[in-house]
Amino acid sequence: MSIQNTLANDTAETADQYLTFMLGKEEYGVEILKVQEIKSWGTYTRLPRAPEHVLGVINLRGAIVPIVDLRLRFGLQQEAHTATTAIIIVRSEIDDHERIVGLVVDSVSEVYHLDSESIQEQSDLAGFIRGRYIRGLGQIEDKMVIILDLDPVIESSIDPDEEKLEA
Amino acid sequence: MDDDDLIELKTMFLDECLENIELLEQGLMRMLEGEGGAETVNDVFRAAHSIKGGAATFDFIAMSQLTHYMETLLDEMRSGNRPVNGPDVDLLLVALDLVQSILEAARNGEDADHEERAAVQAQLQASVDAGSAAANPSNIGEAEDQNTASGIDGTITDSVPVTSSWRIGFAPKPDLIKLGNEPLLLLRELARLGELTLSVNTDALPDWSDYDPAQCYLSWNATLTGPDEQSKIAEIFDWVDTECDLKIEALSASDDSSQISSQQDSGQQDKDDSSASPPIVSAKAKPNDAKAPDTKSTEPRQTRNKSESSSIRIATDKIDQLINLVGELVITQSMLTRVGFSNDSVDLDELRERLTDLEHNTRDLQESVMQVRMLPLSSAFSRFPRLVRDLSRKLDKDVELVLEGGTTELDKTVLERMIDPLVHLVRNALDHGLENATQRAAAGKPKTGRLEINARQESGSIIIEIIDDGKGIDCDVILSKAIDKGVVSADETLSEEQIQQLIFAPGFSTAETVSDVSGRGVGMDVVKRNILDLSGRVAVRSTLGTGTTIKIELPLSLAIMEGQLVRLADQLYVIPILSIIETLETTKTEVSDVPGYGEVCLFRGTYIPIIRLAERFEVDQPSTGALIVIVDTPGMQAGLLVDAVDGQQQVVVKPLVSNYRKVPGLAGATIMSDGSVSLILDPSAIVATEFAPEGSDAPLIKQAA
Repeated sequence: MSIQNTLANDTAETADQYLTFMLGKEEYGVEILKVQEIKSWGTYTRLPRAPEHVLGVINLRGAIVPIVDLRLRFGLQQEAHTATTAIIIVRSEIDDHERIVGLVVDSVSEVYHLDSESIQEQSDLAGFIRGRYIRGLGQIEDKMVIILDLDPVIESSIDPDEEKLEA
Repeated sequence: MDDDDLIELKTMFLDECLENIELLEQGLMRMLEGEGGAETVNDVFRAAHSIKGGAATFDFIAMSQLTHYMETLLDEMRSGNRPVNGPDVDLLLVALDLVQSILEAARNGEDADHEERAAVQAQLQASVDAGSAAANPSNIGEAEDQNTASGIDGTITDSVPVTSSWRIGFAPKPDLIKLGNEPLLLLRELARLGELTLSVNTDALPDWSDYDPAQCYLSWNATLTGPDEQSKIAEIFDWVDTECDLKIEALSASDDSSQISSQQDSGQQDKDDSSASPPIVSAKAKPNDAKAPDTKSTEPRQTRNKSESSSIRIATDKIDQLINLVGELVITQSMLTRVGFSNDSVDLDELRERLTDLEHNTRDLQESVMQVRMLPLSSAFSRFPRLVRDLSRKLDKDVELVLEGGTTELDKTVLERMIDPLVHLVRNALDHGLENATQRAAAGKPKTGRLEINARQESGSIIIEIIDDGKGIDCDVILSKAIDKGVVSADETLSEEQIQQLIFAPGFSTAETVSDVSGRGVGMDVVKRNILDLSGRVAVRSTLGTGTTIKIELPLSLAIMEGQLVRLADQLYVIPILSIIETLETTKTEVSDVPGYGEVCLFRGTYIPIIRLAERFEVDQPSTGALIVIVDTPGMQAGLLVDAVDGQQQVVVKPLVSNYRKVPGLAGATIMSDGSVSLILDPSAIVATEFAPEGSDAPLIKQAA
């Protein structure tokens, strides 16, 4: 695709690599080091009285893993899950304890290399309601990728005190 | 060694101490009963010695000093210098309790000392002195001399001038080297303490032809200037003090001559303390000021119950079995690989056969792994002889304790969390259940009361029964108390069985009057809650005048649970079998909607609340609620409305908190045979959040949503 699209096994560079996925028309990116695996969409078990965006739990080789619909999490319209719907299994450190959480996205796109300089840290985005979950905006060729700060996204998704993201 | 290693070693030592204390206690109890003989005394001595050695190594000075005194007394018994007698053993038990509380403090990282220690040590010392005086009256003077001459025990007393010079006689027994000790290293350590002048005594060296290189023939006399406390010197020899004759004497200008003379007849003295009990003697030991610590004899048990050791000791055969099973698993796996990757088309028959093997292997492996966490109940039972003895003495009742089924194994966590409830039940039975000899005689019963604790395994659960042949539960008294307390209303008619269960009702137990009249009831709701927390259940059966049986049913393990599958809309849930009383059909049950109170149904003559799970869980699929599952929870019984029941099976409990968070009303999740996830309900939590926790006012009032 481009020279920026480097190989995932280039370990020295993995720190600057991002897995991108689609939610609606926007492309989002997460640090590839936080991604454990990608699963295809399947059945899940609903949890009682869970926040709307926590769809339920799945069995990941014996571990019970919650899945979060990022569309709902970010206040987008819910869409029917299709053949391209994927669950990105990510690991996140919350309170010194590693959690494994599945993020439901419309589709997985690419792995990109992005130097930290080429990510535009959007301090002015902080005023935005969703700003604290966004690390910045990355420019890849002529398109924009929203780089997520994963830990706060995960933490607020499964923490009962921070269920409401929307104003 | 870095700090982590040291902490790990310390933890290991503290865990080991727990085991040794248990050994000590069991041994002492056997000694009290006159059983066991020399072997038991040896075991007890060794246990005390291990604690002492370890404590000194890890700098738990208080513990090491106290056990040292215990050891000295035990050593006298071991060497046959004194008979095993009741008062001495009692004293040792008191000291042991103290060791235990020091240990508890140490485990909590607190300062591990106890103000009673000096008194107990003094008593132990007095007992040792009295014993040797009795055995050899001419020694009285000498014993007193010892007491005044050596101001040690970490503090220097007034009677002894402060000194920093010591004369040390170190005469290893021939076996010292064989037992893995090196005298040279000890002497080198000694030299580090200060200025050391050393002379070696080679008198014992045999002819060359008789020389055995594995034996130690040398002994040393040393003068050391430097340390101001004898304990520092004694510490070096801590590990070898049974394998050598050791003498440490304070050296001062004034009594030099007497020291020399005593040095001369050292041969004689060596024989006197033949087993070389280390010469740390407390000069503070004045038997008369010793405050008798007996008053606390039963109390330290309370702290003991909290000791949950973080490590587990596993029989080697259990591990061997695991290794065997893993071996088989590896073989099955390689066979499967061969079948799967063979070039020909896959042989379905063989594949199925191998898969069956795999299933067997996995199940065996699962069972064996669970076994690793299993401990015999005897480790919990072991505390009861002591408890019963202390209590029966205090209450002046004759009690015969019968323990059965100690080999029954239970999950470590379950076992540890059952100890408090069991102790409570035993106390209750002794305090309120069993009568004293006069009352028993009047009732035409044998004078000695009988308390039986038995355990057995019954299909996936463990049954523990506490049976006494005391006066039983007086239903009339219980009922009138319950009405007084507002636990039941006056116009309710209750069966005898229901009345007896009332002793577990919360709010019922707090009144001390209950224990005065009927016995039972103090904290019984706590007992029940503990047991329900472990997904177990408890019931009481009593006949007035002939006794009471408390029956506890516990799951074998917390990680695996017998579950009842229930269907609610399109999902399967699991309810722990042990919390289910009965399942009713909604259409055949009288269900009424009491305005403002919610729905109730009639179950065994009582109205109990109903919880529509589909509503509670906000299930948006249609639910029929065709069945009512009656569950028992700490506060009350309640009915859970589900759509269907779907078979029973063992489920492995997986926590939801590890990746998500605690979900109210759920005990966790499990993975079904098809790989899907089912949620495990926690009936207690569901009922508790649905209804007011206190049953006293209006048990059926629904909390505002």
